[in-house]
Amino acid sequence: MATTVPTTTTVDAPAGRAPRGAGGFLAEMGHLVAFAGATLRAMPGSVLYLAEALRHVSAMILTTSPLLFVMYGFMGIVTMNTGYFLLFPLGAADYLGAIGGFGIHVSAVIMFSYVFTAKVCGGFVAEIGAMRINQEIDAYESTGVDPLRFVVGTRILATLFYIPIAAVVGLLGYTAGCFLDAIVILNATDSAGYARFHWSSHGLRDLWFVITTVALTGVVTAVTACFYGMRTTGGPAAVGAAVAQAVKINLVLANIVAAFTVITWYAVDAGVPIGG
Amino acid sequence: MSTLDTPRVRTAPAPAPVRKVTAEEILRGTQGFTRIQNAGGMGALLVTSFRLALTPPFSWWKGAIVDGSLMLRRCIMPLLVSSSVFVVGFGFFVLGGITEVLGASDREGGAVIIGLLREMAIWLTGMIFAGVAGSAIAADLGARKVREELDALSVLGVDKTRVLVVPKVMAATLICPVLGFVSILGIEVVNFALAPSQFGWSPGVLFASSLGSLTAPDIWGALIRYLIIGAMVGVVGCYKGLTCDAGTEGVGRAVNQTIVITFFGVWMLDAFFNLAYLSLFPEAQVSFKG
Repeated sequence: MATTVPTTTTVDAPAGRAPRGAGGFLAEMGHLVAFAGATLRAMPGSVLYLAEALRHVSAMILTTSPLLFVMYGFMGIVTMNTGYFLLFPLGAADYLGAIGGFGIHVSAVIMFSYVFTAKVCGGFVAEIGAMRINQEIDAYESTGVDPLRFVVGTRILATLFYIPIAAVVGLLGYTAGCFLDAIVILNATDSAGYARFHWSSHGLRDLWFVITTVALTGVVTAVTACFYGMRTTGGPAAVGAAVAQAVKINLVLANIVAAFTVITWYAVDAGVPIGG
Repeated sequence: MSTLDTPRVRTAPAPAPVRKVTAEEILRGTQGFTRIQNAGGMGALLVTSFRLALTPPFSWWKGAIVDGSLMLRRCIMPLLVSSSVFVVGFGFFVLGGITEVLGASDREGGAVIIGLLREMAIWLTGMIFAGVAGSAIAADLGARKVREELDALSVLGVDKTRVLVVPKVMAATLICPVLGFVSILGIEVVNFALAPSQFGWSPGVLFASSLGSLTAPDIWGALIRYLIIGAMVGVVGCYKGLTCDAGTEGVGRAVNQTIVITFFGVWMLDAFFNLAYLSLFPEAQVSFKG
């Protein structure tokens, strides 16, 4: 098995404190892009550590999925509130299902990025940052294990495994929240009428949109989180600062990714089942 | 004539001391107990910090200005970038797309301001504020805890709640509405700059539609929610920072938990506040006007 000795391609933090201001920020983003490239190059090698990736997936499924379900449920309630109080004065509350189905476009992409950034990516930064401070990353390197494969690559792989599950859990939670609010709390329409308009404005194309956007957001935020974990320097306090910085960058990146995928999918055809 | 003759009085053996096991001892360490304990601790910190803030001496205002300006400077760029991108993606192509399909794209301005002021700007600001300011508060206090600065303050006889927590909570409470309305302003500026050319009408149409749809209860509701979100972010960040573990991962975990709790809180508030508010103020139930 001597052939599997990996090439160490760690992207180290730049020496000294990064320069502040716009130049420092641009340099940081440049390092992030370089790190993303190195991670993608190392990804095929992390298939070797499939068990580690599956361990991360199981942790995500057990701890993140319930939170994802409930948060998507809140999103469904919020969408139904807005839609009902816009449509009710027009006397068109029967069409509430169309708003629910169309709200998928907005909610699915945004809510996933929030939950994933907060729960999973924050955990990534905390774990990897602590490993960096405890010199575990250096220990991996000295024993011939490429940290980009074992530490970062397995987490990205786990994210890819988790994405379809997250999309399904999220859509179920969203639909449950919509039904709860529209039919039980607001008593706006009957459930058959609601389901008719909901599912007529939510087709296969929208499902593909959700899965691709969730995949893109998940990978981008996970890579960013691993980057800020890997470049942590200092003591335990630096881990907290790294988590804070990673979440800040991730929130902005998630909004940008979500907005531009919406533009690419729905700018030409809004996909509303109204009109010609 | 010994003691053998005397009848022995058999006394009941002294009962073994029964140690009372409290419910706390049974439940301590379980996940549910920890959560309830955390919630109680946060509630207590909220009450304490507001009691200290509202009773003299009002020594918190200098610290609150410093903390607040730091929060404002940290949050403003992420918030403006997110809001601008968000209004281009979701304002133009989702809300504008719907109104265009309905043949009423001149009402896009009203749809954007109502949709954003009621929902989107609130949670956009809440997310960014929780993610940037809340995590910074938790990281700051957690670092002080790990470096044992908090113990040093206690030894010196300084009340850490009064000195550290109250300025941060008050700064977060007061700065969140400012950021929120700056976000709404940024959204409207982007909408004003790009929407007329996108949909092919004059800027006057945008003004008419926006002002026709805007109601005072919406603005008051947004202000109240921003205040609640700010107080929540400040208290949760301070509590998690003050109670973090001393290990290497402790501060990182505390920041992580702060963000999860505040995100959850923002959404729970958003889901149930509007339900109550729109039912209580039926005059706000206007549909977007042309």
